[in-house]
Amino acid sequence: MTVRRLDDARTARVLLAPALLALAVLAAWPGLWVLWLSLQRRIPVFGIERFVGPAHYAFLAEDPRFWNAVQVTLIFTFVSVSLEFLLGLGVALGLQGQRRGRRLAVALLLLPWALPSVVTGRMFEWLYHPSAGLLNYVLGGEAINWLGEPTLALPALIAADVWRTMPFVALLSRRPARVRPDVRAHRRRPGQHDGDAHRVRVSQPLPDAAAGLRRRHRRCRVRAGDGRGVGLSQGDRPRGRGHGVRGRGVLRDAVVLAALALWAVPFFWQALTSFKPDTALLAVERLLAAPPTLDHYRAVVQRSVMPAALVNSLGVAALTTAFALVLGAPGAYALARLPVPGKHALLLGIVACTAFPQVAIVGPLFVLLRALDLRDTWAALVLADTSFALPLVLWLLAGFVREVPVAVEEAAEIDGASRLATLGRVVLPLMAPGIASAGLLVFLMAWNELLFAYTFTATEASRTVPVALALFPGVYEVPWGDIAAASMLASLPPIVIVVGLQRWLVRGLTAGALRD
Amino acid sequence: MLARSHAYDAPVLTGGWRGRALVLVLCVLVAGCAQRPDAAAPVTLVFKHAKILGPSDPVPALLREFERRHPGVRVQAESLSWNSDDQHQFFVINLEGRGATFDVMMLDVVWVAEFARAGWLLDLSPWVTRAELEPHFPSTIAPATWNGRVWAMPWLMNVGILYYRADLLGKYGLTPPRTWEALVDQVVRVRAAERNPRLDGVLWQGRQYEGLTVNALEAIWANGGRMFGADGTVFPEEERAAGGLAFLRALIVSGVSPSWVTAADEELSRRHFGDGRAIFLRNWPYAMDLFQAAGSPVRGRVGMAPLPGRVGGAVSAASSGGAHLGVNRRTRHPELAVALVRFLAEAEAQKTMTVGGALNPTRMALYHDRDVVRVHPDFPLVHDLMLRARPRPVTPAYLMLSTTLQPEFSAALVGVKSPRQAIEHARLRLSYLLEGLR
Repeated sequence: MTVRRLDDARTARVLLAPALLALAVLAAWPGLWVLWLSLQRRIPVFGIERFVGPAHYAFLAEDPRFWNAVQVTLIFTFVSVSLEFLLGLGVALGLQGQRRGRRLAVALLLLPWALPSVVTGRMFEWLYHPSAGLLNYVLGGEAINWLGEPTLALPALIAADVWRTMPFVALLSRRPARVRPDVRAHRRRPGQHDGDAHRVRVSQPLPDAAAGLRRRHRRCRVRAGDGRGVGLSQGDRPRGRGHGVRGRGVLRDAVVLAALALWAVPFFWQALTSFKPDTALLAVERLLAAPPTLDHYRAVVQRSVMPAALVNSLGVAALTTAFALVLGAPGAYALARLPVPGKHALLLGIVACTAFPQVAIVGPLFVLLRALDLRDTWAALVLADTSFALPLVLWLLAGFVREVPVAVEEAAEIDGASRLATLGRVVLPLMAPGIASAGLLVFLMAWNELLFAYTFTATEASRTVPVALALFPGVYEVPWGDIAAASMLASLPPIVIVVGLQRWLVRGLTAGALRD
Repeated sequence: MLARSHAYDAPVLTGGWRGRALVLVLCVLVAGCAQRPDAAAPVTLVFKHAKILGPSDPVPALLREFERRHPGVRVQAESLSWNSDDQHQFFVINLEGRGATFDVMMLDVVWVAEFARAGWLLDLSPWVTRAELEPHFPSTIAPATWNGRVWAMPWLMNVGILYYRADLLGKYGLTPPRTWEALVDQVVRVRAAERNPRLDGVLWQGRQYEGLTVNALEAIWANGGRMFGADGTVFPEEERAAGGLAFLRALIVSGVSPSWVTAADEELSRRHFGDGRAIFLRNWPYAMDLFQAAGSPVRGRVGMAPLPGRVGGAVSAASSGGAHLGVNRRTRHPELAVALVRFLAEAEAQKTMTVGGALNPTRMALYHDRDVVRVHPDFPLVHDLMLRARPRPVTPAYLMLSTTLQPEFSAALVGVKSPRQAIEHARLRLSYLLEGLR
């Protein structure tokens, strides 16, 4: 088998090279180059470019605005993460015994998370409106200026962030007690070759994924699997069925559903607003009483840039997904199955690529795209989005490759199939559901992406949906109804994914620890 | 009317302009692409300008006249969106690196130095002498002549104005206030007598955008402060600058200005005043036409006055604004492009723009021209206001400086920072930025 192993090494290089090259250029290089840039003074339009050493850092150290931002960010992060975890765990517990309406429950839960953050922003802006907002109405008609009052703005922002992030925490912490990873499986077993040792580590990002996998194994009766790499004891069956009185169960399910629906009210309120005439938007009672109208949708479709933006967003998200999958799938296979020197370091590096905040690499990416004269094109956005899409795809698909039983591949090999043929004809078809999951996640993230799209587009015609929505023009007053309608259009793909393609989405979500 | 206020974030007027602009641009593009380069074909000059909205657009007729005087030359006008930020972004992207697709451009006054420094503008000095600039308002000449050279021709003029409710002031025997202190007294008096809790005192633009820079600068100037000293120091009269901001904050705290002015732009404040719900308003000249329009609740009840000064401070200091015409340095027809710019800035063309399109010219004499005054009876008064106008600092880094200042000004207005702190922090940042530009 030495020849085979040599071949494998070469194949691995070929399969990984495109993905690694793309990652190096689009994620690693900007992430490192930004450090170098931070030691320089650069104003390209004026031709200023010189080394200033730590001057910028020295300035920031004394800049009150910077320290204020640090303080606000710390408070924001600490408070929202704490709340998200507390609430998320509570909701996860609530969902645990859910029997009826489970799909609906998960759809309601995931909706806030799946919406573009710009839509969330617009929704809460409307909820917080001092005179016409739902929140002040519920609070008894107080005219509280939530976003205009310096002391209230931060709590108001935290509430919006908790609203959209809590569901994600809840989903990831579902059924924590049921799945107990088998520690023994983590240990390297005698006779297990290198690839498997890595496989064990990489393939269990979250217990839940393994649980799902195990269920599928049982259901699909994939005989060839020997459980290696799954990392769970086979004896651990889902429990908790049939306890409690039935009537009580129904009530409990209903309460959980009602609670989730209540959580999603900001979205429903925006949806309702989008169907109400402008004259009714001045007060909550009038909004509720007014007859529905399609005026806002007509206005958005006929007189705004939203139609063009929808096309741009669809194009960019679809191309990003395709690009990341085409580059990522072969690379993931190599990472999961083939001997790759320094595999550990590579995997770490790939994870590290996702650790740069977008705002840190947006500058270097801008310089790069400007040099390539790609600004204001789809290509620019696809390349920029690939910087976060590709690591995700590599990570997720490597995990899914491992779900494909090795024995299947061995059988193909005995039949004389080459590695590539095995990959193309056996492995890829078997992991199609995994590819669909990864693709959905990437599509969703690219659809919702704001910062890159905002930075790299210049003209109205090339804006994507989040940018168009963020810059939605108002003549002299904010056109809340039109904005609501535009928000609904921007939310369509996420809604379709959360409701119609939920199974794949959840699978992808729980298979890889996703950061927002 | 739009072109008058394109000094920044100009207001939109009509629905559907966006689609129409797009269609127009597309048509122009298609037409442009369809043309084959041909030695016999006439020279085509491309003129990029902000969308001219309003009752009529006098620009096409002027361009035809230019073509008539220059046989074999065709001028193609292409309009950009109304939004000043969009226009700026368009120019930056296209002037930097991409092939020159236009020859003549309409520039916001505050961009001229920036574009000149970046090397995007043709130096007009060989054609345009200082003497040729003299008939224009002084505050338009300063931005056109950065670094001792002429980079652009003044074209359209703007100035900050105090609008007042002549009927209300007259009712109580008051005349337009010369100082802000007097203005506050008048507000208190009129409101007490009117017993109308919904009547606001004075409206201005406090949203965090270029308009805030303008309003805050005017307040600082009125209080005897400056943004830059002669030696380049930032806010040399620190106390006075802080005092200017403190006064704006005090307007809000005392209720003379409603708290929402910190979210107001030109149109929001103009509408509120136009509905008859405020006594005073700081805005640009364009607002007058709308106040006097048929059906306006304040028609015939509005007066214009210079922006007030401060007791113990300077006399009134209003900011100027407007548009200049520049030539793309990479134009293939510099002689013709310069000729077009000079033609459009001539008295005759400016008069046509003013009479036909309700735009404010930069040539001082036109404000007393008989034909112009017949259409715009208030122009002699506007002339005096414009004469006093002060340009915003002329520096290539203007936009950078302005966007750095805005959050500090805004923080002072909403009370997150004390005015003194805001000026101190602004000074720190501006000094650091300017140091980097050297």
